[in-house]
Amino acid sequence: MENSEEYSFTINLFGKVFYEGNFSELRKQKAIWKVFGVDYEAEKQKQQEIWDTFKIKAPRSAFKHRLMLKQYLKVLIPPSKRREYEEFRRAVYWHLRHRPDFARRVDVKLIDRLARIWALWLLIEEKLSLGPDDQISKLTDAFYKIDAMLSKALEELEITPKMRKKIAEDLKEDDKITEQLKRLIGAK
Amino acid sequence: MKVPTVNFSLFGEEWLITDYIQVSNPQLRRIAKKIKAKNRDEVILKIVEWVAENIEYPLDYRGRPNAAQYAKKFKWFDGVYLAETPDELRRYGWLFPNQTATIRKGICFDSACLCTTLLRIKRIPAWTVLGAVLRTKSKRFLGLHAWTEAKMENGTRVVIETTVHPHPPELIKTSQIYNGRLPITYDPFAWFNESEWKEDKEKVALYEGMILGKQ
Repeated sequence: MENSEEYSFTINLFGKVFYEGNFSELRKQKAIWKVFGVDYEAEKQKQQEIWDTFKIKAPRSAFKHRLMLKQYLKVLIPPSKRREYEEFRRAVYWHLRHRPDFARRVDVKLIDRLARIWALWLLIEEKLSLGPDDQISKLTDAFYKIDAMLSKALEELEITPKMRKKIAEDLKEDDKITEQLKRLIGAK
Repeated sequence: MKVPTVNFSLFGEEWLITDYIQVSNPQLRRIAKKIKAKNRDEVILKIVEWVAENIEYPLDYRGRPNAAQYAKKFKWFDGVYLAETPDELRRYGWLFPNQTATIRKGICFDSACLCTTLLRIKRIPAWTVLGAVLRTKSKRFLGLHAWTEAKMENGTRVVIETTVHPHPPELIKTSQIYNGRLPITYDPFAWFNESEWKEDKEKVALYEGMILGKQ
């Protein structure tokens, strides 16, 4: 069936109100949220906290950078996704640092997506190490992106159960090696 | 079928309104495929749950609705995100359902079209509805709004409020929310999905006069 164009009063009105910026979106949403039991003040506070976390002046040492990164992600990533996110992040590190060939064999698309995520991580860490205040707001945006990308990657790459099992085994192996190394150098 | 076009999408390009219900989109079909249920009513509830849990209403750090027209796009890692928007640039471009599903943020129209699309992929009678929100007692106009309307197994039509996150909202019978039995009233004036478009021209003309000050 072929569609043809028609003038619509509704679309014209929505265009004028939304697109031309003449809208009271917040007033309407507050009234709706009140009826449906959404706590607007809590939502606002959540956004403020995310922002405040990022306004903290970036620390100088690499260790503190990572700590800050972790704190920020804790606020940003929803609790339901956090464990999966951490697992995936560790897998990204492992495969891109040590096992690119393995990932390539399993899924050609995977290595491309992981490489881009990895590049972004490096970029964020580099910016954090520089630490000037004016970079901080840019980093907020970078984290929104990485959050969306990781969720998308988790959903869309369709990591097979076999692949997940293999990653888990590799990570266990990685932990064992780390423990052995720690014992060798006498670290706790 | 005669349908209107929309030219205030993300980059200002022009689309038919029915294009906003993307029943053939592979990304959305994949999401719909993962939602499994025994009957129509359960499918509706699960889709409502999915939208509530996975989409956020885009507020900036000051708690103000954010504007997708000012979103920045980075093609090299397919990321789109919402930035803080100065007041003079607060134009809102409508997102397609697959864009909403990707960035996981969207205002009423964006999340309503995503919800309608998922329901239509599951072959459930559903429409995105455009209308106004009023205070029931004072009849004060609060703003323009979009929501999803779906038909349950027993033929009852329900309103799905898609801007409520992360806990799924209760389904409300159209007879309740359209007829002033709640503190706010939804007054619909246009319905559409991928194959239908219908509007109440007289009603929208009244609102146009009231909002834009025309006779």
